[in-house]
Amino acid sequence: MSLLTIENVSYKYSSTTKNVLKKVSAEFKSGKVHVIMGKSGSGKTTLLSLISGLDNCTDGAINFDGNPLSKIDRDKYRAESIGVIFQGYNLLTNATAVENIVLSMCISKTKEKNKKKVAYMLLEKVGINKETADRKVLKLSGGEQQRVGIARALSHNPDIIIADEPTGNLDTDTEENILSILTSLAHNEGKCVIIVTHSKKVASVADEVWGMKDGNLTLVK
Amino acid sequence: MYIIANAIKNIGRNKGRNTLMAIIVFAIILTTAVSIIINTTTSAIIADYKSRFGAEVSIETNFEMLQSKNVAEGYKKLTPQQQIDFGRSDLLQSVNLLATIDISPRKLSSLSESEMDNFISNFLSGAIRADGTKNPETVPIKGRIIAMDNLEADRDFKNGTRKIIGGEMYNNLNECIVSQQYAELNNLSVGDTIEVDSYFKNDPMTHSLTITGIYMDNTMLGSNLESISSMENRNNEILTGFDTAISMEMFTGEGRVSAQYFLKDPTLLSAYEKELREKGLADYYNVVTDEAGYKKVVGPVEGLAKVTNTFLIVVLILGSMVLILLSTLAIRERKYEIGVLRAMGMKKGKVAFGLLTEMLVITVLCLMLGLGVGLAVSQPVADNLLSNQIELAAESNNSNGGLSTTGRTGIGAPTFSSDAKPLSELQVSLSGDAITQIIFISLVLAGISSIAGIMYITKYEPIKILSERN
Ligand SMILES: Nc1ncnc2c1ncn2[C@@H]1O[C@H](COP(=O)(O)OP(=O)(O)OP(=O)(O)O)[C@@H](O)[C@H]1O
Ligand SMILES: [Mg+2]
Repeated sequence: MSLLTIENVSYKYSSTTKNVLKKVSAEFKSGKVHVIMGKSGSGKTTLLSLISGLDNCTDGAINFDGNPLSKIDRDKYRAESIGVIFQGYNLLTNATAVENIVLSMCISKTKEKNKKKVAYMLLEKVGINKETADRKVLKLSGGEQQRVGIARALSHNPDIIIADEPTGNLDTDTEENILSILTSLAHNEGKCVIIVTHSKKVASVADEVWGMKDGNLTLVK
Repeated sequence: MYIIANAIKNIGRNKGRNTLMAIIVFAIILTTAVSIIINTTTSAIIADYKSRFGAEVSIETNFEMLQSKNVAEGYKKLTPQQQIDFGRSDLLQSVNLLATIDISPRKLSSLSESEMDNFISNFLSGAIRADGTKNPETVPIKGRIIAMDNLEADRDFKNGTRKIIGGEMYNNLNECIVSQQYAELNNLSVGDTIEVDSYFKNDPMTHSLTITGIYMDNTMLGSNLESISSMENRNNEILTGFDTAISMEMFTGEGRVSAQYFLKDPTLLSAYEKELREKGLADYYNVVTDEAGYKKVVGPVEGLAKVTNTFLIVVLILGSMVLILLSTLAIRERKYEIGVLRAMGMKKGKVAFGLLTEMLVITVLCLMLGLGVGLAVSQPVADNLLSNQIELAAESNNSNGGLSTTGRTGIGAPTFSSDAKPLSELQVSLSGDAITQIIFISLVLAGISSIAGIMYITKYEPIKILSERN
C-alpha cells in the first residue's frame, strides 16, 4: 500500500493568479526511492512543500497513511513522520550544526537519552566531523550545510524522507555517500524516500522516476 | 524543558540584537525603578502626613459681606456651642478645643496683682452701655481657666515650657492643675480643693476644683513681671479639662472657645462646608482650609511626585515605542528563524513561548540590575529633586508676601502647636508595593518586545515564512 497518495492536487500561491500545480496525482511507497525531475520553476519544490505539510493544497488532497493532511496535526506530522532536506537548507544559522540536530530531535520528542551523541554520530555519517559539528552553521560551506540538513532530516527517524536537490552542492564522492545512505534507508529500513533532482546519476538509483512539467506530474519510469 | 534551554542559548546566539534590546530595557527599567521608588515613598509620606495632621480648616468672617448693612446688623459671633458642634463630624481627623474663662477667685491670691487690675475692671464695671442698660458690676480679673480637650495639642507641655512636677495631670471632671508659683503663693498642694469665682461682683458662680497636680511654668521666663497685670501673668492659669470648663456655670456667659478642625483629607472641604451650613453656619463665614500650610509642608513632596510621575509616563511611552520599533526591525531577522522552527514541526505556541522566554530572561536580568542600581541612585535623585521643589516653593511663598492663614476659630488661642516645616528629608526605600509595580512594568515591557514576533508567528504559515526568504 502507498504511504503517501496525492489526489488531483492543485496549488496557487496567494500572490499569483496562475496555478503552480495542476491536478497532480501520484503515489509514493514505503521502501522505495522516488525521484522527481523537471525544469526549474516547474513546481517541484512547491509539491514537496505540500507533501511536507507546510501548507494546504488549494484543491485535491494529500493522504498520509490514509489520512488527509488537511485533517491531521501537521505540526506533529512535520516533527515526527517526515524528514525534509530543504533546497535552501533552512537551518538555524546562528546555532551550531549539532545544536540544529538536537533541537530537531527535541521537537520530534525522540526518546533518545543522549541526543547530542546521536547527533554527532549522524553528522559523522554524512561526513561532518566533531570540530565542524560544533561550528555555527553560518560558518559552514554550502555543501556542509546541505549535509547538516540531511542529518537533521534523518535525526528523528521519520517514515518519509524528502530531499530537494540534496546533492546539488556536493562533490561526486560525497554525492555517492549521500545517495547510498538514502537508498539504504529505503531498501533496508523501509522508508519512503522522495528526491527532487536534476542529476541523471541520482535518477539512476531511483525505483521510480516522475517528471514535472508546468505543474503536471507524470510517471516516467 | 528544551524550549527554555534553547531560548537561553538563543540569547547568546544573537548577541548584537539582544545587547541592544537589553540596554534599552535596562534603561527603561532603571528610570522606572527610580521613579516608582521615589513615588511610592512620597505617596507613603503624603498619606502619612494626611493621616497624622489632616488639613486644618478655618472658619473666617467674610468682611466683604459685612460691608452690606443688612448683613452687618444680623452678624453673630460663633457661639462656643456652635464651635463644639462643628467639631462633631466624621469628615474630621481631629478637633482641638480650647476653652478660656476669665476668673477672679475671691479666696485666692494671684501673681502680679497690682493697681492695673483695678483699672480695667473699674473702667467696665457698672458702665452705661450705648443702649442705656448698665454693665454688671465686676471685680478685677485675676486669672484664667484654660481648658483643652486634647492635651496633645498643648504646645507648652509639648515643648517643655510647662511640666508636671508634682501629682499628675487632671483626668476627671472638676480636677485641675495649678502652677508651682500659684501653689506656693496660696500654700496649695495636691489634693486640695480650690474655689474659683467669676468676675461679677454680685454673682460669683463659685465652682470647686480639686488639684491633682502642680506644673512648673516657664512661660513667663524673661518677661518683666513687675509691669504686667495678674490677667497677663500666665502663672495664674488654672488648667482643667474641657468638659469641666463647659460644665461651669460661668462658662455660659463668659466662656470663650477656640477650636482647630482638621479634615481627614483636604479634598473633603466642600463636604465639610455643606455640613456646617446645615448646622447653621451663616453665609458671612467662609470655610477654608489652611491650604497654604498644607502646601508648605507637603507641596514639595507632591511636586516631586508629580515630576517623577510625568517622567515615568514619558519614559514608558517613549521606551515602549522604541522597543516596538526595535522588535519590529528584529523580526526581519527572526522571521527566518521562526520559519525554520515551524518547518521542523514546532508548534506556534511553543515558538511564541520560546520568544517570550528569551525576552523574559533578558528582562529579568535587566530587572535585577535595574532594581539594584535604581535603589542606589534614587536617594540622591530624590534629594536633588526635593531640594529643587523646596526652593521653588520658597520662591512662590515669597511672592505671596509670606501671608499665612491660621486655621483657628475664636480669639485668644495662643497655645496650639502647628508650626509645620516643609518635609525636607525623604528616606527612599524599596517597598513591596514598589517591587510589585516594577516587576509588573518589566513584564509588560517583555510582552511589548515580543509582540511583533508573536503576531508574526500567529499570522503566517511556515511555507510563506520560508518562501519569502528564498
Ligand atoms: N512564494 C511564492 N509566491 C509566488 N510564487 C512562487 C513562490 N514560490 C515559488 N513560486 C513560483 O512557483 C513556481 C514553482 O516554483 P518552485 O519553487 O516549486 O519550482 P522548482 O520546480 O522547485 O524550481 P527549481 O528547480 O528552480 O527549484 C515558480 O514559477 C515560482 O516562481
Ligand atoms: Mg526547487
